[in-house]
Amino acid sequence: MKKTPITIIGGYLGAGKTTLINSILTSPQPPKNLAVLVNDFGDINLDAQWIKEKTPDGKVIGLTNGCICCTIGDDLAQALENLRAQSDQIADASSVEHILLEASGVASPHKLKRQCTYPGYYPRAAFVLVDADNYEKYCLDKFVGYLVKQQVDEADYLILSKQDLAPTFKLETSQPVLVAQNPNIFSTAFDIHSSGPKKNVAPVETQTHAHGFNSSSLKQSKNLTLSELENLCRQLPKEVHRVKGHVQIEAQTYLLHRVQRRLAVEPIEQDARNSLTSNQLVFIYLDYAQQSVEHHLRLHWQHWQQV
Amino acid sequence: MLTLFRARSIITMNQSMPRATSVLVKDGLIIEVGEEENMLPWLKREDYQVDEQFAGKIICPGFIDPHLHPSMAAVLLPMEFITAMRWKLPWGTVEPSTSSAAFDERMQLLHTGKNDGDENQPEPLFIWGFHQLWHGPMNKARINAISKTRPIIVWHRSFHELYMNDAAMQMAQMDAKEIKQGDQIDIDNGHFFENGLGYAIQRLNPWILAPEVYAEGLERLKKVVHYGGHTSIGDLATGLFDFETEATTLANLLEGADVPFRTRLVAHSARMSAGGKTLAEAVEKAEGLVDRNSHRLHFGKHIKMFSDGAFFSTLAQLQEPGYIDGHHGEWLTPPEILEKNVRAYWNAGFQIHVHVTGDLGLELAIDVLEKMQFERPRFNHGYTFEHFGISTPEQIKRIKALGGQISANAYYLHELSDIYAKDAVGYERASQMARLATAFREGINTTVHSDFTMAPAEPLNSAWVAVNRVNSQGNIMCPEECLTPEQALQAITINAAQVIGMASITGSIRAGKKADFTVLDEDPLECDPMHIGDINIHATVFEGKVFPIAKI
Repeated sequence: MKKTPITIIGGYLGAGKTTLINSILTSPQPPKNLAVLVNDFGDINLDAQWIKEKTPDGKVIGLTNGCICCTIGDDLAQALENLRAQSDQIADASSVEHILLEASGVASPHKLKRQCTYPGYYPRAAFVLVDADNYEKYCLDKFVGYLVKQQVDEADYLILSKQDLAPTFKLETSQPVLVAQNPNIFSTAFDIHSSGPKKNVAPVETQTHAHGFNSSSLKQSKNLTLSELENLCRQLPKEVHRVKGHVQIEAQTYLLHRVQRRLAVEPIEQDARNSLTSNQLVFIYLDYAQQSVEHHLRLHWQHWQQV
Repeated sequence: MLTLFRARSIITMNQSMPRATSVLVKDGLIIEVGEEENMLPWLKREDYQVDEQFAGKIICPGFIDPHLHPSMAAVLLPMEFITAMRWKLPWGTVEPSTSSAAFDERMQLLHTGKNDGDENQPEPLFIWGFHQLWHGPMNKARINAISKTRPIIVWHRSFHELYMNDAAMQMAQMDAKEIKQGDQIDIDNGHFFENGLGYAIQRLNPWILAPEVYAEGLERLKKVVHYGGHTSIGDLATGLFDFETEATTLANLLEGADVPFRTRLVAHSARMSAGGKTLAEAVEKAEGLVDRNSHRLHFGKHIKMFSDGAFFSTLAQLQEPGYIDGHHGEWLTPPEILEKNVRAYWNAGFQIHVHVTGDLGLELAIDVLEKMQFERPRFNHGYTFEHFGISTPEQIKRIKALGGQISANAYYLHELSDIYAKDAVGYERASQMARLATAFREGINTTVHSDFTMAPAEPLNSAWVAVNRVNSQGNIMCPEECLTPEQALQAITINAAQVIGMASITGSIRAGKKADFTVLDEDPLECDPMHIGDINIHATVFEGKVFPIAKI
């Protein structure tokens, strides 16, 4: 059964979730067939001019730019059901192909991702916004110190906001960090395009300058065994912090995720596999080591093509 | 008509006259309580009748549970109970089932005893109360063994998981193809938990939330409240599922001459703010709720908020050393938002009730109160800490200094202190949950509640736990925190009335208050303290009208 991907936007209060979601909802050319789940319509402050129509119970609204917006309330399960049941009442919402989920400020990304494995849906990625101006202060807070650190640890991708207020702030992390002021933030971050062929399921890193990191993508052109893959990964220079994507090992496609020395390889299912156009891996490394890393990849990953 | 009730003894809860033997009642009000020979000035003036039906009984002020959930009860009570603890229900006491075999035996009995019309499409059987610690592992095969044709749904006691047999999954139109094994749905075992539960509930809603089932649930709730000896209750928080639906249904079913209790309705603050309202608008909406008041249903200047997660799910937020396994609890509201919300209602003169379960959740609620007192001092603000699972002695001193009240779920100690000692937080903190004696020593207005359906809606049972502190394993947990029977009775009468803002009209027996009584066969202040939970409730009197309780 076809599953709809859910992208989670998390982060503590004031990190910029609402601003980000608002910019997507009011964008003239948003991603197609996108539904956005928010905690409360009041949070996002949508002007009446953006609203095209509403369902009778007021829980699902259709926007003039084609997006659908839906409230979560207390219950994600209920919201997903509402969406499924009512999105067809809203014209233009032929089928929701992608969901953006606004996480509560106190949510744990891992826990939320598990909730997104609701039948018919799957969690694509968790983006966590980090408030450059207040993060360090929050880390010391007796109530939420552990939580803001946990959110960063559990994120797949981090988006740094309010850098202009704290230009020297540096987040200690091995995850890729994107910058909120980047004008391409949502096509970069969410890899959703308003037109064009369907993209693969795997989140593809881009070349956007990340805060101290660069990335390279390689496409697989030859089959390999698991031990060959493990060997290759073991030999990667230490400046490569992260590798992510899909590989084909024998007859099976796997999701690969390597963070520093830890390698995780998980088989993925038939239907997800069918929507992949190719097997690619993205390598994320410290930007000052670009030359040596690219050299290493050319040398040792010679059966893989530069993308 | 002026009525003189004679009793073996009347416990007034008025320290100026703690005991009496007669009470004079007219038009639902207490005219005078005391000794009959002192009542002649009243009795001379008009005709009166002597009511001897309670002559051999003990009359107490009507019991009050200041924190339960009628809506949750309405969903749960239509189900059949199979529980590890005893539940005294008006339609029959459910004796404890404390083994796998006992659970199955009762499940079988409930199945065969259900007389449905249609053999081919038997009515579903909903069971609540399962817990693996007592009843062993549950799965689809086990339920299938009871019946392959009747849909049977077994709810975990915590309400956070359930199990179904094949017939139930078929009834709920669950498509095995749609469900991936492992998404918090163990389809092979018919087990749905956490988010999988959300999915199951969505599919089962047509049965669980069918209007006639919900209405039946509320009818049962009325009986349960009556049988528990309550004459007043607090609904904390109206709008748990849906504000308008609940407010309307309660207005229809918990009002009327046959309803022997009144309800303080405390709105869920999130429902006031829903739909993009500003805080100022939310406060205004909350203030306007009193326009809906009827004789027995009262909104007032009360509001409910939430700090940390559920105690039954070990989601309470704890200070160091935290949980044994290192996990963190949950915030139900971000700290800054809780502060903002509290401030808005504080400045509007509301009494704020905050759900707190762990000592870090409590710390947040106390810090916020302290901030409010610094910004705009108030006396008699009534800020109440609800549930009060784990606390420290230092926090109790702060609560005293800041003028707060405590409404504790004492039952946590009975059902959870053993598991908490072994798995969650260790013996020291587990044994000291519900730190009631310290609260009383500090002179804080302290009450106990059931949070029904989390604990039985039986004030005498809550009082029994508070006095004896015996847990499910029969162990006494921290006797230093035991209440005296006198304190426990205060906790379920006058102190509870105070917490729901009704102390001027009920909670004790004195001239001018409503004639709300609970009539007992035995004296809770004289009997063996271990016996308090077993005292038979003979009847209640609500605003002067007698509501007998048939012996179960």
